[in-house]
Amino acid sequence: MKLSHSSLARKESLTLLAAIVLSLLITFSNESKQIQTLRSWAFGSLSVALESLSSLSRYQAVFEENKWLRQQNANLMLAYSRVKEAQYENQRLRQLLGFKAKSSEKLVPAKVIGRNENGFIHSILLNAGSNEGLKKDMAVVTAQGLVGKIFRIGKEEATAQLLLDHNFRVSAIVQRNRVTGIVEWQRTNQVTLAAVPKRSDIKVGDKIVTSGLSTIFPGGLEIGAVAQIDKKQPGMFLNIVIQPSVDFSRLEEVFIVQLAEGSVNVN
Amino acid sequence: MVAFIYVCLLAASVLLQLTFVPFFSINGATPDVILIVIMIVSIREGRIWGVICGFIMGLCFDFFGTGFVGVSSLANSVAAFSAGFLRTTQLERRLVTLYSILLGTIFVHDVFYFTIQRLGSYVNYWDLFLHDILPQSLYTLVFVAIIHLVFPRHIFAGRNHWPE
Repeated sequence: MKLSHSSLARKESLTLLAAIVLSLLITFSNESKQIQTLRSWAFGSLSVALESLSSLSRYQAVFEENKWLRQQNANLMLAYSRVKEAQYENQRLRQLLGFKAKSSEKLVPAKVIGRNENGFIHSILLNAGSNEGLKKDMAVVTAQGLVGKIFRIGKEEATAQLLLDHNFRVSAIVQRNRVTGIVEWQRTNQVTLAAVPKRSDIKVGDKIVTSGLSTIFPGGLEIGAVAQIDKKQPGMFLNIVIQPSVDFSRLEEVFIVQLAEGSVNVN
Repeated sequence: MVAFIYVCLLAASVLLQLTFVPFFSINGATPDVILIVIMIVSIREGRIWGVICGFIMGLCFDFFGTGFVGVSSLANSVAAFSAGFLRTTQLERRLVTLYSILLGTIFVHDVFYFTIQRLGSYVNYWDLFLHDILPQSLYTLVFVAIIHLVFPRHIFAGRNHWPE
């Protein structure tokens, strides 16, 4: 009896040891082709199940969303006519100054079919992939502003890394006075604008947008607004907390920005 | 039949963790439903099955994240092994001891998971402990308590100690 107990304990320890060794081997070979292939395979097969599950819950919100969209449509029509006027004026002025035209961007719609929120890892699973022309590192947006970027791509699905992810960084500017900084996620679920010198004129409520100094994000995408400024912290830089424009807990549909080949971001 | 139920339960836990559970997120802390199911498997079916399920489910979950593949499988395997302690010990009548061991198991899992995910970043460890490990462990324990209340009381007890 005693022997069988010790034999079982040995088997249990060996199973654990095998699991640990395998896990570590996989962890250290994350960039290998086999792991990447397995990742995209698992990713594709489960995304089908997730999509059907998420579509069930979406039916309830459809009517409410429709009403909101109609209202948004009317508002956007008004805004569009004003923007169009400004665009024509801008075009004329650019021609006068000899500027190159800004490249147009294409928006690809995608549904959010899954999400991963674990500590400082924040990502969403989308139902569009390379078949729709998506590529890694393309910007993900909603009508409210910047959501994140494509992190991994499959044929019919993609994972987007959110602005709230620990490893996410984006070059940004304060819309009012063009002060530049880097938007990054900090502890306690705060998004901050880092690397802004203390002498900068920043006010609560200032809009923060992408700077366009990037090959990923087009300029002028709204990120959020300044919620809090701490000038007392030691060092050369301000501690600026941003309230993101996007409500990440309610993400249902997003758009992926396809920048035209060879495009140059002119902010 | 039992194996089929466990497979369904484990698959459902991965789907729930990816779709439904994030809605319960409080200040970044999300209950770990996969871990709870793995603890149940380990306690009821033994450490070997617990570790195997923990490894496979961890791997499945990692494929969908932006972090390292293999981290959840490592943390889940260790947690399953730790939870197996309850299989051979009749503790279900002493709630404080039962919950202490379950919290310890969840804590071990979260320490492994977050410590490895933290590698290569500049996050302060104390900060990580206060804002991620501790809230996440306690939140998962709250879910364990809810499951313990809703389902039969012997769900966290080994088969040898099931009521007649």
